[in-house]
Amino acid sequence: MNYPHPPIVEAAIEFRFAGSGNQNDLEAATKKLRSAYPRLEEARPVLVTVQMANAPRASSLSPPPAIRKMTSADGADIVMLQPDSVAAARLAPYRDWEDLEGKFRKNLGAARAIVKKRRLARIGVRFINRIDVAQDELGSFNHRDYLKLGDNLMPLEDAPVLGLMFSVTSLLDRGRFGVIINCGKVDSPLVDHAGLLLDIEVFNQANLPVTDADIWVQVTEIRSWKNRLFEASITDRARAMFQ
Amino acid sequence: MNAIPDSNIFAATNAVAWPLGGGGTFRHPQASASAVALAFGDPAGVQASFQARYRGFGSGAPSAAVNPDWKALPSSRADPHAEVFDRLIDLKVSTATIAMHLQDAWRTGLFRQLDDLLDEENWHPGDTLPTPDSFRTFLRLVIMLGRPPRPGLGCTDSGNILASWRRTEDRLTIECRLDDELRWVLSRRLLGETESAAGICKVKNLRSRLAPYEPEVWFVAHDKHSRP
Amino acid sequence: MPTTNIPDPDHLLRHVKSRLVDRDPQTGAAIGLLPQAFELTPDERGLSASWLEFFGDPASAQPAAAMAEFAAVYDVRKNDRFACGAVGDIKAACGRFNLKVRVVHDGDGHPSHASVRRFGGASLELLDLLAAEAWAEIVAPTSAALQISKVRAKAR
Repeated sequence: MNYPHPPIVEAAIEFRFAGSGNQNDLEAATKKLRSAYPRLEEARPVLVTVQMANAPRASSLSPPPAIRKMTSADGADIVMLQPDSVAAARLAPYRDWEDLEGKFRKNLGAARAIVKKRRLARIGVRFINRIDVAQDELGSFNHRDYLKLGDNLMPLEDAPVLGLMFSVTSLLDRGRFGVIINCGKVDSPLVDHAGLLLDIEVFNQANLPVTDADIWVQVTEIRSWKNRLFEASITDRARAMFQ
Repeated sequence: MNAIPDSNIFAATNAVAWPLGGGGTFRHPQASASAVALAFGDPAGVQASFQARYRGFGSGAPSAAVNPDWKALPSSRADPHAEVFDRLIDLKVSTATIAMHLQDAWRTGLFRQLDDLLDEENWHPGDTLPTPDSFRTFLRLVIMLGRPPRPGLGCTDSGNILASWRRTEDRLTIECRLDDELRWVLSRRLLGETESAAGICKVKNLRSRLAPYEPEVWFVAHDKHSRP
Repeated sequence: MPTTNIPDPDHLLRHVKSRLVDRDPQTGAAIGLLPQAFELTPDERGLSASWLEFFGDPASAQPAAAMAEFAAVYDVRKNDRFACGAVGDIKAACGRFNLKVRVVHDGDGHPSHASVRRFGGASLELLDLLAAEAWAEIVAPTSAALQISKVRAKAR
């Protein structure tokens, strides 16, 4: 369902590849994408090793690869590159799926140095939503008015909860896909509001399709599952807020 | 209690969710699903943990959408304006935290104003750039006001955003400071007399402070171009 | 250099950086000044400006001359503005807020430099009044001043 004002804070598609490119591949991809994504940042995971006294010296480990983040001039579209993956992310305002997928396809084309003819190892689609809800003077609100988490079936006080953090990791469609859902309360940028964050990621990292056509069919299928999970998680009251 | 599983896709605005490696659990379709975990522990601790993981997605800590773990890489050209450009992008990224509450045209107009404010040819090197904290207060102000007409934008010597509304001889200027603090000054013609006033208050109290001066003159669109 | 009081009928021209110019949110056109354009900076002893009558006659040539002199020492950008106000009006506005200022010529930094002294503690309402009325006429930098500033910046 397309909403005029979807609560999407970030939407992302990622392909990960078997094997890994090198720094040169990363630089080549970065160069091709630079004009559309002029802001360039990098994060380097820190590898910490501890050498115990008198223990045999551990073999040297390569540092984990850097993650490159490239941002468009309007700050809304992002490409993330690693030697073995390409991702496209769209921040709010989310346009539509066609916009995100279209940009991702373009990014893949530009990141040929990383993609090459490598076998696909993982497809993932992740949508992070934030529903901003008014709080009372005590800073509380009833999340059950907006989200269906199943806790209404428990013998809890029918009152706003004191804290909220929900997580489920599971399988979909007879194990064809995996899903990670995280949900909880966050600060809201709106005064006297709280944020209900609903983070849904659906992915496949086993038995991946091989042909281009099949891959994109599966991306669409994964997106459909994501939508089903989202719609199943929200109430009509929440839905009305996105109109 | 298991930790919250990290999502496998590295979210652009959140460095906390590091991508996992193989994620072996899902290589075999027959693997059993994990149980639902509904966590109520120490409320403050639970919340703090969740907020920290998703700090780019709420209103967040200062510079919510700018992750301090990311390091800007040098531009491909020798560029004395790189810092100004980077700050401009940072402010636009910050807008994403509330963009779902803005009309597109309002956001587009705001970005044009930011482009002018942080125009590389007109920005004086050495001046303090508009701070993300101040801009966050400005965004919260705008949403609290119910999406008023876009104000004029400026920046103080200390990097605080200035928002200015004018309608004929009535004027209001608001300095947006850290942590929702506002410093405002107005001049308003009411019943044939001109009154001026100034004050300091929090974003959520601004409407009540300005109420005696009938602030709708500034906060309600009077023509189609300024409608939010 | 000894300071001399500047008479009330004379005029001051103060440089205002682009970020302190009030602009129409639709068109971007400069429509006035923000009150903070008259906030004392940490290194200002008084509000700094150029004394226009220092440049003699004709009066019409004074702003351009003042801008050129200023640009030879300080950075001037295309979207900056200069604010022009009469000394008497400035003093009267300050007086409304119980600030008895002195407007002096001291030649500090550049020959026509003037200063509005005893301005510390000016209220935000006074700054707003200066920006909107007493010191409100805005003038764009001349191309000559911009050129001088550019050349000076390159030579640095």
